[in-house]
Amino acid sequence: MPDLGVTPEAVRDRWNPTPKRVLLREQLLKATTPRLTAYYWEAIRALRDGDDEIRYGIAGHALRELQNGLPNHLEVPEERGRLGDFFDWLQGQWSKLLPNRPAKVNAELWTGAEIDQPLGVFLGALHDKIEIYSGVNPRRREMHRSALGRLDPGLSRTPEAVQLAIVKTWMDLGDVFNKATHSSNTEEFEGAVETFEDFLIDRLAPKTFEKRDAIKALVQEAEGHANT
Amino acid sequence: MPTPEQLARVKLLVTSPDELAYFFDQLTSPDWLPLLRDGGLLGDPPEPIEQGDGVLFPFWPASRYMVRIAADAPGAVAATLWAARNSRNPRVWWDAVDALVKMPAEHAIRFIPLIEGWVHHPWRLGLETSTAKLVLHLITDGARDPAIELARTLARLVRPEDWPQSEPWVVLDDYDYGREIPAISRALAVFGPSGPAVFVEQLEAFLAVERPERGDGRRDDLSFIWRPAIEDHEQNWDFEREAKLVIAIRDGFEEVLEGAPEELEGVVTGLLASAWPVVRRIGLHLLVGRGDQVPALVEKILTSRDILAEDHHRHEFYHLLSSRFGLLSPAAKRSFVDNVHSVADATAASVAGRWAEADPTITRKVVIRRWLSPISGYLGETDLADLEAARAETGEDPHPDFPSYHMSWMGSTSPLSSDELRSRSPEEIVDYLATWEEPEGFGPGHPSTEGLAQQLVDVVADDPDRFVPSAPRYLRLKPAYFDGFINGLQKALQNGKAFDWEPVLGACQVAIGKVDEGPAEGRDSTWHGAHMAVIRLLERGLEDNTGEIPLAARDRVWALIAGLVEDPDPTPADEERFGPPNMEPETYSLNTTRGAAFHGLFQYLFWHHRSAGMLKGWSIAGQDPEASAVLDTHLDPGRDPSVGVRAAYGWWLPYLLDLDPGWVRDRSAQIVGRAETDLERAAWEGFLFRGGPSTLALDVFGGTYEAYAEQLASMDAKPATRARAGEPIQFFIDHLVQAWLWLPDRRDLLPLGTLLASGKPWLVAEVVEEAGRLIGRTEAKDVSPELASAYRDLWTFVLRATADLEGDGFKKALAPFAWWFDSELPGEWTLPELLRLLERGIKPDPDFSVFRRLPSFAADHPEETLRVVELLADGGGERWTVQVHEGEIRKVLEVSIHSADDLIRARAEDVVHRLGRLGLGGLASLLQPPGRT
Repeated sequence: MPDLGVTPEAVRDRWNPTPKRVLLREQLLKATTPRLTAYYWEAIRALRDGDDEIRYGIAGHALRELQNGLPNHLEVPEERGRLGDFFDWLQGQWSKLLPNRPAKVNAELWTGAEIDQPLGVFLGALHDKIEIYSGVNPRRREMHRSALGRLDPGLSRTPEAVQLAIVKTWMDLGDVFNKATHSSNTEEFEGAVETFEDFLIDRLAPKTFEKRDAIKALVQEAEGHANT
Repeated sequence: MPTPEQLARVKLLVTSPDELAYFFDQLTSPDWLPLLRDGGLLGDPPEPIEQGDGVLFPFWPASRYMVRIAADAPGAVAATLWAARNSRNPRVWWDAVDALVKMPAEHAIRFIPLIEGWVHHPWRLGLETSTAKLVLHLITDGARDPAIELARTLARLVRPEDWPQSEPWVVLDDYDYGREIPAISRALAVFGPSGPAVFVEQLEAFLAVERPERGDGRRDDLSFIWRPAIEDHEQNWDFEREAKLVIAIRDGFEEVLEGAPEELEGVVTGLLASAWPVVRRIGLHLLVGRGDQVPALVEKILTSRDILAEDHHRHEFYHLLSSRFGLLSPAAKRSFVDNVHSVADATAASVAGRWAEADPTITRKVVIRRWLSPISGYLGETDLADLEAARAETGEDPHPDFPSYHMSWMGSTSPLSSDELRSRSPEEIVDYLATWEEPEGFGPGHPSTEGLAQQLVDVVADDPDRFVPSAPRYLRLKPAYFDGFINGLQKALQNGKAFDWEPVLGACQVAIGKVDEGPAEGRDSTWHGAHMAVIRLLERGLEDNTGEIPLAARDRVWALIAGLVEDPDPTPADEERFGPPNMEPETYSLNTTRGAAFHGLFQYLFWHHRSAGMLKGWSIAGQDPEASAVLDTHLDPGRDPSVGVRAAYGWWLPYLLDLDPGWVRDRSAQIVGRAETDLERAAWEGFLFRGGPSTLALDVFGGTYEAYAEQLASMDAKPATRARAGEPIQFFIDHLVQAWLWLPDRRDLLPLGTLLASGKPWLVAEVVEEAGRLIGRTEAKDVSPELASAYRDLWTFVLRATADLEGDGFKKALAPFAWWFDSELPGEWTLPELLRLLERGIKPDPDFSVFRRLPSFAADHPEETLRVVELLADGGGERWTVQVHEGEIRKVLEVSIHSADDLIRARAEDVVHRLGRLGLGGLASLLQPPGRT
C-alpha cells in the first residue's frame, strides 16, 4: 500500500470500492458514458488513495464535471451563464472606475457627485447584466430538472413540488463540490459525496423495499402510530 | 397530525410514481389532505396515455387515498374531486364515484350530470357497477330525484349514431344488468310506484326500438316467446335485456305492494294501460296473488273480451282465471263463458282458408277446451257438454297456459328394445324390419327407422354368426338397415368376434351396385351411405386381427375395391365446396367414398403381402398388377382431380416406401413432384406427417425436399393454414433437423441452409423453434453427448447462416432459442448462450421456457442465472411477464442472495429491489435478515 499521507487508514476505508459502489458504477455506465462514469470512479479513488492536500479538490472537481456533463449527454440544452462570471466582470469594471473619484464617506459613496460618461456606461451595462443574470438560476434549475427527468423518467411524472425539491438537493450538492475545489469542510464534503451516491442510486437503481420501509415509517410517525 | 416538516421529508423521499403510489396507499388519516393539497403533492390527475391502438389509464394515487378517507372528510374530498372533474381519465371517475358512495348524498348531487356523461363514455371501465352502488346509496339517503335520474341513466337503451346498422346497447353488461337493475328497482320501491315506474318507461322505450309497430297500429312484443311467464319459470329464457327489465319491474312493484297494498289497483290499472302486452302481463301477474284485495277490478278484467282475445296475455290470464274465477258474480261468470264462445268463433273464422290443413272446427274446440277446462267446476250442463266434446276431439293439452312450449331431446328411439330384438330369430327380425312403418310426427320418444337401425347394430355385433346367413335379405330392406347390419359386423370385429365372410362379401358386392333413386331430400338413409359402411368393414377386415378376411377371398375383396375406387364421390363440385382448405386433405379423403376406398386399396396391398408370408423383395406391380394399374391411372390429374384421393397416396407413402421402394421411386415425380400443385402438395404433406427422413426417403424425395425448401424461402410470411391438425412446415423442418442430427454425412445435401439463409426471420424462427421443441421433448436419458454435440453444431450453423440478419428480424429469428434452453441440453452450454442473446437485446420467446428451466441451474451457476434475471428485469416494460414467474425468479435469487460473494449478494439485492418496482412485492422477504419477520 503506497503512502497516502496522514489520514488514518480507517477514515479512508470509508471510500473502499464496496459492492454498492461497483454496482453504481455499472449503472452509470449503462445510463451515461464511460467518461462521466470515470469521473465518479476517479472521485472515489481520489478520496481513497489521493494525497491529503488535494484529494477533496480532485473529488469535488470530478463530481462537478459529472454533474455538468450530464445535461450534455442527455441532450438537454446547457445553461452556460454563471454568477461567478458576472462577479469577475463587475470586479474588473469597478476597479477601472475607482481611480480619481472621491473616497467613501461613512456609509456613502459619491453622494452628490455627477454621473459622468464612464460611470453612465458602467451603470447601463450593469443594468443589462442584472437583467440577464437574474434569469441564470431559474434556467439552470430547469436544465437540471430536464436532465434528471431524462436520467430517471419516473421523476418527471411526480408532482412539480417533488421535482423542485429533488433539483434543489442536486444543485446544493453541486455547490458543495464547487466549494471543495478551493476550501473544504471535510465532513460536509464526505457526507455530500455519500448523499450524491444515494441520490444517483435512487435515480438509477432504487432500493424499492428500503424506500418503502422508510415511507411507511414516516407515515406512521406522522399519523401518530409509529409503534403499531 | 402530519406536520410541514414531515411533508418536506416526503418530498425528498417519494421521488417516483411507484413510491408516490405506495405513499398514498399507506395514508389513513384525513389530516394529510390539506397539507398535501397546499404542498402541491396531490398533483394533477394523470391523463390517459394513447399507445398504438390502445390507451393506458394510469391510477391517480391521490384519488385512491380520497376514496379511503371520504367518509371522514366528505367536504374536503368532494371539493378536491370537484376540482379534478374535467379529467379524461376513467380511473379518476371511478374513484370519484366510489368516494361519493361513502359520503352523505348532498355531496353527490352536483356530480350527477358528470356521472351520466362518464358512465356512457366508451372508456367507462366498469364505472357502471360503481354507479349502481351510488344509486342504491342515494336511495338509502332519501335522495329521490337524483337516484331516479341515475337509475334511468343506467337502464337506458342507447341508440348509436349509425343505428340501425349498429345494435342499440346498455351500459351494463348482460350479467350486471340482470343483477343491478332488479336490485335498484326493489330499492326504489321505497319511493312508491314512481320508483319502479322508471323501468316501465325504459322497457317501453326498448320495445319501441326493437319491436317496430305493426301495420294495424297494435304493439306486438312477442313476449310469450322471450318471457313465457312473468313469474320465475323454467320456460323463461332470461338472456334478453328486456326480460331483465321485466324482472326489475315485477320485483319493484312486488316490493311496493308489500309495503303499501292499497296501491294495488292504481299500479295494475296503470300497467294495463300500456300499449305493450308484456307490461300489461306484469299487471295481470301482480293480480294473480292479490286478486282478493280488488274483486271489482278482477271481475272487470276477467270479463273483458279484449283481454281474453289477446293471446299474449294467455299465461297470466289463465292463472288469474284459475285462481279468481270463483270471486265473480253469476252474471260475470256467464259473461266470461260467453266471451269464450265469442273468441272461439272469431279464432275459428280467422283460420278458415288461411292454409290448407286449417280446420276451423278443431280450432274452435281448442279455444273452448283451453278456457273452460280451468273453470269446469262452475259450468252448467250445456257448457260442460261443449267442453267434453272439445276434449273428446282434441285430447288433453299438457300446457294450456302457454301459447308456445319449448322442449328438447337428443337421440333416436327404437320401436323395439334391444332385448325385444334379440328375442326374435334373424328371420323374424328381417321380417319386422321389412314391415315396420315409421309413424308420422317427431319428438322425444317418437320411434324412427334410424333408432331401429341403431338398435340393430348392437344386436348384430353381439352375435354376428347368427345374422350372417341372412345377409342377402338385408339388400331388400331400407339402406338404413343394411347400414346397421354392416356396422354391426364391423363392431363385432372391433370386439374380436369372427364370422363367415363369404355371404357378407357377396351381399356387399350387390350393395355397392345399388344407387339411390329420386330426390335426396326427405330420404332418411341412402345406399351411398351404405357404401361407406362397406369400406369401413373392409378396412377392419384387412387388419391383422381376429376375424381378418382370409387370403382365399382375395378376388372378391379386389372386386369390391375395384368397384368402390371408381365411385364418383367426391365430385369436383363437392370437393370445391367441402374439401380443402375447409377440411384438411387427409380428413377429407376419409370422408368421401372414393378417398376412403383408396385407403382400403392400400390396406389391401399390405394385407396381401402379410397374408402371403411377408416375403422380401415384394413387387407391387408384380404381385398386384391390377391394383398397381388402378393407382397409376388415378395419378393422372385428368382422370382423377381429387386432392382428397391424392392425400390418401401421401398417407400411405412411408409404408409403400418400405414395401417396394422401386415402385415409389418410379412414381415419385407423379405422386409428389416438386410439391408445387395442390395434388402434389396434398401427397407430400401427407408423407411429411407420417414419414421420417430416412436415408431412403432422402434419396427418393431429395428433389422434393429441395423444391419445398425453396418455396418456403421465397415467402415473406408464414402461410395461413386452415383446418389442419398439424403444420406441414413444422413437420418438414422436423424432417430436416432430424436428418441433420442423425445423418451427419448427409448434412451438406440437406436444404436446411436454404431455410436459414433465406433472410426471412419468420422461417428462421420456425427452424429454431422446431429444433428446440424436438430436443425439449427428448428425455434426459436420451440426450447423449453425441446428440448434445450435434445440437451445438446446429446452433453454430444457425448463427453462421443468419449472420446477415439484423435489427428486429434478427431478434425475432433467434428468440425461440428459449425452447433449446428448456431442454436437457447441458446448462454449461445453453446458459452462456442465452446470456449472449439477452445481451444482444434478444428477448427469449416463450419466456416461460426460460423461467421454467432457470432455477435448475441456479445452484451450479448462481452468477449466470442471476444475470439472466437481471437482463429479463431490464426489459421490465412487460411487468406481467416477470410477475407470473415470481416463484421461479425467487428460486434463482434465493441462491444468489445467500452467496458468499459480496458482489453477487449485492447484485441479487439490487435485482430484488428492481423487481419490487415491477410488482414482485413477495421478493421483499428475501431481504429480511434471519429472525426478522
